[in-house]
Amino acid sequence: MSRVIGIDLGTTNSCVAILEDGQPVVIPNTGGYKTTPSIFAVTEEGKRLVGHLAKRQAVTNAKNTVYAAKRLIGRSFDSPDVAKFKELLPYELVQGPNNDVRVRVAGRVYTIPEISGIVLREMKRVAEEYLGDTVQQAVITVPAYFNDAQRQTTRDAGRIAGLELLRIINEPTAAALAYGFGRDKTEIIAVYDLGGGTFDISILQMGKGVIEVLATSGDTQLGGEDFDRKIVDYLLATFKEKEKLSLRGDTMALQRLKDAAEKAKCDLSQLGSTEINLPFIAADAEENALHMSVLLTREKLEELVGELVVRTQPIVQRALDDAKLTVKQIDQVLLVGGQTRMPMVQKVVASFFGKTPHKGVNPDEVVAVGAAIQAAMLSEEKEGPLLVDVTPLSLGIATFGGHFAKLIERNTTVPTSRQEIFTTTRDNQTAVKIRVLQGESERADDNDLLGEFVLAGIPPGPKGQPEIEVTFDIDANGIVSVSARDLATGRAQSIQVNPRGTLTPEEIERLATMYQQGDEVAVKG
Amino acid sequence: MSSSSDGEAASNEAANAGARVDLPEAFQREIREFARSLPTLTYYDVLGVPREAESADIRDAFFQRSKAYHPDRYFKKELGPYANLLNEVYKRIVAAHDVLRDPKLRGAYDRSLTPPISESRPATIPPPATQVSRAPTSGRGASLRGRLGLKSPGLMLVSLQRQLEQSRARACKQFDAAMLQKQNGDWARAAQLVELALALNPREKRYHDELAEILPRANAERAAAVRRKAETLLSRDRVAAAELLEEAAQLSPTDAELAHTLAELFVELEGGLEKAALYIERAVALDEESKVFRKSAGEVYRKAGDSQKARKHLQRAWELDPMDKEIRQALQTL
Repeated sequence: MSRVIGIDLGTTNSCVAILEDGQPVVIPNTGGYKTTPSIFAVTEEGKRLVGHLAKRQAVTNAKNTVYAAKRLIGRSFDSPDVAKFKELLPYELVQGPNNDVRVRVAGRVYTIPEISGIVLREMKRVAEEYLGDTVQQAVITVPAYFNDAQRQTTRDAGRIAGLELLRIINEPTAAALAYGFGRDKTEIIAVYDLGGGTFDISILQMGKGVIEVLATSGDTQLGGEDFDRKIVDYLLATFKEKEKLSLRGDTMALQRLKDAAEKAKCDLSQLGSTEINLPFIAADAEENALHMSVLLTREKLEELVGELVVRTQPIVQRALDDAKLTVKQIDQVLLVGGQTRMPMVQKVVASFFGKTPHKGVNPDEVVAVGAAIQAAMLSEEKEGPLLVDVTPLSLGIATFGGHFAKLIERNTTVPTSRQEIFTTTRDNQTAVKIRVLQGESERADDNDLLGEFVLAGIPPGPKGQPEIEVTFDIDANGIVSVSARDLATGRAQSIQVNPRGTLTPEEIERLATMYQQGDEVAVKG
Repeated sequence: MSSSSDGEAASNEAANAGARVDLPEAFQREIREFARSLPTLTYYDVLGVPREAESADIRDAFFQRSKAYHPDRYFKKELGPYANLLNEVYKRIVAAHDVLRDPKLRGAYDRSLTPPISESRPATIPPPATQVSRAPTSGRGASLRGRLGLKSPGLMLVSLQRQLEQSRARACKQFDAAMLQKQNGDWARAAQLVELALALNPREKRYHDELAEILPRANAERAAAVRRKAETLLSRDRVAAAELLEEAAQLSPTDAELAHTLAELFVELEGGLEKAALYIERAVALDEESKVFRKSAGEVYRKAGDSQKARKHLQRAWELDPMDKEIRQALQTL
């Protein structure tokens, strides 16, 4: 029987783990690193690179190096978030036929699930090399606040990588699984997960071999990359003031600045100040070389990014409110994600919760370990810790006047089903359209449409008379089915909501076959 | 989909299907029985905790149940029809936990389990009352009209609030009609209407108070009517008359004379001795100092062949009236 691995597919780095003889093992890659950059690149010679090799050449080949693809996964090309990224990313975004986002690398267009698929395939390869056996199944983690399209597109990426995903679990939940592994204490923990691209907070009840998610909240557009950008913006402004020259639009300079910013940020977690030296960053009108030399103090950094850290507080509060708990009831706080290494983040979290965060987990590896634990729990006979999960976003239908009627509130334990009675809004109305939505906005249009169907054959009558019972059902795998029944006639109609990723099933199959045949993806250095 | 009919359909399906199932026989039976009994179980039953359970007990019970019934426990197993059953069972466990963990919801649920007076109401399991009322606010709706609502066939939420208001309004109507009948002196009809109002809105104190006043009078009225009818029957059909009088006795259980009449009637009827004893005991219990009742009791027990009891009653009757020759005679023959 082939083994099931756990993968943390991160914005900046990815990590793979497995349970061996009941013990979690983080699998190192060929270079001996336990995490692999989620970066894909094509060199001038047309060679494809992934991971550390791709990262190493990013500065000289910024236009053909794709990083942070996770921030684009499952998004529509015309969404405001994508518009924002378009300006910031050195690589080229193009609109796909399904209004999806694609990237042009060395003259070829790649879909986002393809890019993520290439990273996943690399993680699969790392595991296979370590195990000396093929791997076909995995549990993958995603930010808790990913919507259906983002989850499904991640699933599609797995398919392209030749992996069947047994389950997609939330990153903070995975971290809690890893923390609770082998521990039999009844306690309530908060997982504060500030990664490369997203911020998640989860509140969990642990004990008696069960881990129950009480509440989850987050921001899919807040992470370490935003910290880096604040530093880059500061460096750009400083440079412009001094040299009267803007570096925006110079992709190579921007890539160097981004790398330097990230490095300085990491250094300042240990040091009080650091010097950013970038010789020959540009040339002036007379072709004289210009250099950048900036001293960055921890104080200045905290001033630059303080606003980002503060933004996490109301989100944490919302999760506590959803869990109907107060700060005092939290027994333990877990820090996950590389950005939580920053002393300021730790300080803010400690003061919010009134206690020092737990130091026992490795914030870069803990999520993959949790995924591996869930993989073992699902695939093996052994009694692992049981995860009782919740649905991350509210589900409901669109009603008259463009309102969103929620039937299942976010943070509801799954599996679950809920019913409510609806009625018509016009006299002699014989059909109703059930539009299944996901999201938190009260306005129907602001939420994601998951699917729709029509219930017809309602006997004509005055408005408000017919009674239509709508039932939502979510199973343990997160599959949503919706049915509507006219209580007078018993006539019913239902759908299973097939989450839509950004690619059609045919496209995914075509790509999966292509990559399966080993075609052109010699991504190994 | 946690309605009772679904649960039953699912359990039948499980029993009938011959698909391969990777679960121990005993566990299969356990799931079947659990699923089949879902419609009659309270949330406390579902979690297996007593009504007074503390919140920590409820949490622990939920964890125990989760370990046994969460579908993920059997992820790789061939479950056949049991997949559906397990899902239904676990969903109810989740629903029970969602309500009982929340003091407000639990309080409301507890009240729904013990309806104040009408004991006959079946203890149904209400759906989790987590939804709040969501009547669309008209002002906002108007500004957005045409975006979704009028383009596609319209759909409107019948809010819990509205459902509640509707049944309150209906209850109010029944109650008004009841008050009218009360004025007309038709106590029986009035009582019936108040009971209807209470079924629609069981939490209205006014209805309970009114019923407490009307019901005894309605019963007395009905008892009197039944009695009148019985008396006209007495000469022709004693069995039918006895039946009617029993109904009257049920309506006015404290009427000693009526109980006595019934005892006298049954003692004459074939196979009526047991009932005769029942009613004469009731009469005696209601008026222990009645010589007439004691004498009748002596007669009933003598006929039933219980001379000890007969003697006891007759002796008491003699004490009450030592001059009564009939009593002395009856005692002597015993």
